[in-house]
Amino acid sequence: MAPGELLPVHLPGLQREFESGVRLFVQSGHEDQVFEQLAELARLVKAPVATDESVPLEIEADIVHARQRTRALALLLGADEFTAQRALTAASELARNVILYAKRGRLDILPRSATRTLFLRSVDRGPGIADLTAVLDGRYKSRTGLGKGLRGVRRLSTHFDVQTSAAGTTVEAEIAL
Amino acid sequence: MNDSVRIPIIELWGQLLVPLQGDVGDAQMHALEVAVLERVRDRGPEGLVLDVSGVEMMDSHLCAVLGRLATAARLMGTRPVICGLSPAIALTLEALDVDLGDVETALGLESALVALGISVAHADARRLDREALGLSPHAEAHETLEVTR
Repeated sequence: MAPGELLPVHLPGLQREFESGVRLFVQSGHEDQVFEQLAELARLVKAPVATDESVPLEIEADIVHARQRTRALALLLGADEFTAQRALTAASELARNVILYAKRGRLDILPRSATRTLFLRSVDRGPGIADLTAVLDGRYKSRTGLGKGLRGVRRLSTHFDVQTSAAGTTVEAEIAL
Repeated sequence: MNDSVRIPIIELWGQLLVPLQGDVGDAQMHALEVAVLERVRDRGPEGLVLDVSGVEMMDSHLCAVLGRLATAARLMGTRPVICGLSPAIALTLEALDVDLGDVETALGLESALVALGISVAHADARRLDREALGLSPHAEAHETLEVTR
C-alpha cells in the first residue's frame, strides 16, 4: 500500500489485523483490556461515510468546488488516481456547461457504495440544448471549448442520459470507480 | 487550489517556462493566457514551455485553452512545448477524445528543454574529460554546470 492510499474504508480491516496481532503478541491476561481500548478507539475514529451532496452552481468558482467535492467523494469510495480523474473531469464538464449555457443550476454528486460508482447529475433551468444530436455526434464546435464536453462525459460514463427542453436540462452520468 | 494562487512565468536560458499548478480555474487560466502572451511579445523567447505536471485536473475546456495559448504563441514567433502530462490526465483526455492539436509535447521539463535545444554538460562528464587530459578532477565552480544553447 503506497502512502496516501489508506482510507477510512480500510479501518475495519485494519482493526481485525490489529486484533490478531494483539492475540499473538500481547501477554495473556491483558488481551481483554487491549480489545476494549481498541473498540473505544474505533468508535472515536468513526469512518466518514460518503453521502449525497449537491453543489450549487452560480459563479465560475463553483466549478472548482464541484470538482473538489467530486474528487473527495470518489476517493472516499476507494477510487484510484485514474478513476478519480475521470469522475473529476466529468463533473467539471457538466458544471461548466451549466455555468456557460444556463448561468446557474446545481450538480448532484451521489456516491453508490454498493456498485462503487459515482452518479453525477447536473440540473439547470436554462434554454436547453438546441441540437443535442449534433452535440453528441461531435458535429458541434463551441466558441469557448472544443464542443466536446458533453460528448466526452458520455464517453467517460457507464450510464448517460440527457433530458433537455426549453424549460431546462438534466444530465445524468454514472462513472465506474 | 484557488484563483489567488499565482502561476509564475519564469525566464530561463532565453525560454519562457510556465509551471501550471493545482486546480486551475477558468478565470485564472484566462488571466494566465493573456499574461504569457504579453511576456512573449515583450521578451521574445525562443521557446515557451507549458509544464502541466502539477495540474490536478484537465478537462476539454482547459485543454482547449492550453492549445489555443500554444497556437497563439507560435503565431507570434515562439516555439511552444507542452510537457508533463500525468498518466491519469493523458488517459482521461484520450477517453474524452480531445487532444492538444498539433502542439509539440514532451515527457517532462527536461525533455522539453532538450527539444528546444538546451543541453546540459554534466559535471561528471567534464570531470572524466579532465582526468583523461591529466588535469585536476576538480573543475572550477563556474565550469561544473555548463548550459549550451
